[in-house]
Amino acid sequence: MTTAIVGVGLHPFGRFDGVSGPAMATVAVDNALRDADLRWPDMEFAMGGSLEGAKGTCASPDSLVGDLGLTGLPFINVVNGCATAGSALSMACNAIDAGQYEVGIVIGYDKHPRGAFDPDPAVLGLEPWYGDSGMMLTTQFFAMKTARYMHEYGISRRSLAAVAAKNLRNGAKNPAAWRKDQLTEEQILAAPMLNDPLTKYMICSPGEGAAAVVVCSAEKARQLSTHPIWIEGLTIRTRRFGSFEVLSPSLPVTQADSPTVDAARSCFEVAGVAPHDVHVVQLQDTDAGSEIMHMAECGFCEHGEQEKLLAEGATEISGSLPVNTDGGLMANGEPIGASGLRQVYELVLQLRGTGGARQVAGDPRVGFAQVYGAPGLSACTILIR
Amino acid sequence: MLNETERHVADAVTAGTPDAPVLLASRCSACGTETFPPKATCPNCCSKDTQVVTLPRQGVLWTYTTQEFPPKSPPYSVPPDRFSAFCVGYVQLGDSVRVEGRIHTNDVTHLRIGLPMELTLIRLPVNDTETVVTFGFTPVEESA
Repeated sequence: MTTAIVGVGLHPFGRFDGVSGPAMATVAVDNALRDADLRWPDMEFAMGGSLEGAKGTCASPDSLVGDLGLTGLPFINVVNGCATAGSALSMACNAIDAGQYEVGIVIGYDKHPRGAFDPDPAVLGLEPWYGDSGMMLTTQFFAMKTARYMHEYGISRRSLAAVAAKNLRNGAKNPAAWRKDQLTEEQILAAPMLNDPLTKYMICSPGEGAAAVVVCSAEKARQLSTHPIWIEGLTIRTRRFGSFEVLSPSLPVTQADSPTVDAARSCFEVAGVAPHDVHVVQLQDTDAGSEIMHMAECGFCEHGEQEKLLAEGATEISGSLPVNTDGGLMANGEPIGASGLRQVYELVLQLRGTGGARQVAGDPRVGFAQVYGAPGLSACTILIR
Repeated sequence: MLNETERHVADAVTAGTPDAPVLLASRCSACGTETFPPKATCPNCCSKDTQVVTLPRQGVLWTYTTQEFPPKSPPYSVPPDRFSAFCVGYVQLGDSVRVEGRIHTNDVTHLRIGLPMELTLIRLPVNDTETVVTFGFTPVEESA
């Protein structure tokens, strides 16, 4: 790939009563443009993702031009479940790689209602009885996949708590994070159970936030920036027959690898690097179990090895494999349209060495990000300085 | 309180009798894959040659969880003021398919992966006059 990132911007994640999703997106865009030392009229195209915007519960991404400036640029709305941001970024890279544009912006935002996601069964191709029966909850899947994984690979409840404690600890070092209160493993284990084995603090919450990334061609990047970050791999995969996926009324006994395994493997191939080359990692921690499973699914360890790695503190900011340095979804919540771009934002800061209190030591050069979600898809991104 | 009406939400995917319900699945004539609920196209080999079959009533628990906060209603038929915690799991029926369903048990602490389970119909009171009926599984040792 030949696409560079020359600007990143964020609106903090959390709950912001009275601030609309598009208003948050405008802040993220302004910050990204300032970071790139560019202006909105410089943007040749935009890709924007928002699940609520697509549902009509808030303004859709292309309406942002009303606030950012009516320059006539092509603005494409992108919706692709939990890989919305990854898909928008992927399409932007493709457009630049194809020579269609030199510079553009990818925008993601969301402002979800409070409480668990409650998708309409029909929208996901499911029949009404599935929702009537009380099974239309993504958290049930994450808990059941985690429970099975713990059974097969000997992962303890203590390790689930260790992941949640670490991500909240990292979030406390991130001014833009939603949750900045640290909790001990004991507090996390003693919290109300939501879906066994996941307690209240082991599951992320839908939330609000926005992120924006200015992308450009290699030639443009050399003109614009002394410190571009290169998008060396960006792959998206959906579920194959036999993978254990969210909101599945049945599963075949014959098991297949998850879409994360497929997306990560392909992403490493495209980028020409291996998991052991990666210095900083952002993984989809919808829940503590997901982060643990995604460590292995992305190729960073063997299945079951996480128990030892977590006990050693390997995934801490100071560890050999720092994971979710900005607090991940657990500390930031999940505004779906923005979530994947938040990971990219964090990787860019880390690779530039501007991560502040949460900066990974040792001059990190290779970053990896992964999102996963309904209806069984994954997007992986590799960034290299 | 007398429940005057029963709404059977899973009629389209169940058969058999109230005491011995069975689940309907599709079986692919080309590769043998069984899928619940029935699908016109086999998700494994994409063949359109599938037929509806019934699944075994008994199996073993493959994984499970609890639901300890009230799901939003809709889509859940039971409103939050009638909510009580329940279990959900995947039960392996025969040697080809694992089906997700409500787990009806008197003792959650007794559940474990590998426990023998049996298909049953479960009743969910949604208000004073209406009960929703759906399928679920209960430990064989608890079934009458």
